[in-house]
Amino acid sequence: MKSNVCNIQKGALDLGGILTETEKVTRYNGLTKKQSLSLRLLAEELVSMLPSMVRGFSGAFWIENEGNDYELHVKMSVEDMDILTRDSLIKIATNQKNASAVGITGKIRAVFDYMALGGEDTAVMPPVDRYGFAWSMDYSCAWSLREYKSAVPTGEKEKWDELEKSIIARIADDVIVGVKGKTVRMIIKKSFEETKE
Amino acid sequence: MKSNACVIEKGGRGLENILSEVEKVTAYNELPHKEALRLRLLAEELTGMLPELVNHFDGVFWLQNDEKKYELHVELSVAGMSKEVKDSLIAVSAAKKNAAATGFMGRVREIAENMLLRSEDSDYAFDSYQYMYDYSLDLHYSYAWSLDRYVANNRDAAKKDAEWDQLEKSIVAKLADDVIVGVRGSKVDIIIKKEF
Repeated sequence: MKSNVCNIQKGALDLGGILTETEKVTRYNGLTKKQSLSLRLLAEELVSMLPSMVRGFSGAFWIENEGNDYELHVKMSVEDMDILTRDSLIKIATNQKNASAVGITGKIRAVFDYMALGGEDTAVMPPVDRYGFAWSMDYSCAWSLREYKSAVPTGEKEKWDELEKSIIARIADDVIVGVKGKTVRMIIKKSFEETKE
Repeated sequence: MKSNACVIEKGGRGLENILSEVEKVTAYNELPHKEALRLRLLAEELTGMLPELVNHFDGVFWLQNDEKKYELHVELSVAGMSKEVKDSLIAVSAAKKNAAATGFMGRVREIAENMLLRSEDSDYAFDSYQYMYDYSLDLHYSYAWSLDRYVANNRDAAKKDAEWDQLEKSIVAKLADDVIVGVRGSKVDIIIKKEF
């Protein structure tokens, strides 16, 4: 099924609609308490990440599922990005002490900003490190949390600490951020195990 | 939102999924009891018509809504049907021996069947003149029939014949805002619309 689509206005602060939609999907699919909680936690992580992402753009959110495979979708249009937003994104991205790119959600946010600038088509360096960039047919440039996890060397203790502390990294099966044309997408994926009645 | 799509197999397997999808959509949208009941009634009427249709055609059902506007969709496809089967079905419908086409939903079924059999086949041009008065202008389809148009065209007509009687007795005709049967390529859509 596919949920209602919530429009996210530029600079939106009230993102409660996302949590409401999540609850409706939970009801529709008759999810167990534990599954509902996982889905809700992922939606909350998303809501906490979004405000800084929607500063300059508007977009849409929805949830889809096929059997036990759930996907939280965010789609942003960077078509009408104004010059000030672009400047500030470049400023943040080129600042080596990219203070916001702390933790996994911070990293995802930074990747999102990078994609909003055009991904590999920009002169800006990718945020923090090159881990996690993946090849995908659907995007001209894509990043995946699962790829990131498998690429981070075991020696990088700090990065593994971040991964272990992160709710989204622990619960989600994958987070994909990609750009194609003037559209940036983020998909949080989660598959539940078959429930026994 | 858009519900899961249910594939309806020959012999009517999968029909029970339609009603459970309706219930899920009801829960999703927290519909009041009365509205939920109406949606379910419309779905039951639609389900009652399907077994005969899916004997010959492949069918998929889903529900979607935009705020208070609900739509029950059935998409039927004629793809993969052999020429022999098609010929024999056309012979039956041409001979008007299609006795089962009684009641309002029987008529809807007949229209859908006619459109399916004659779609993409120049040997049997769809005899659209028969339904010309109820033609609905819809850009999605190459040809479409609409309940709304049918009612508008026949309400004032002097001939309150048996067909009109059936319409007045029909649950769907009473409850639904519109019923549309449209053809596009080898596919026919049946859509029941209801706004609460």
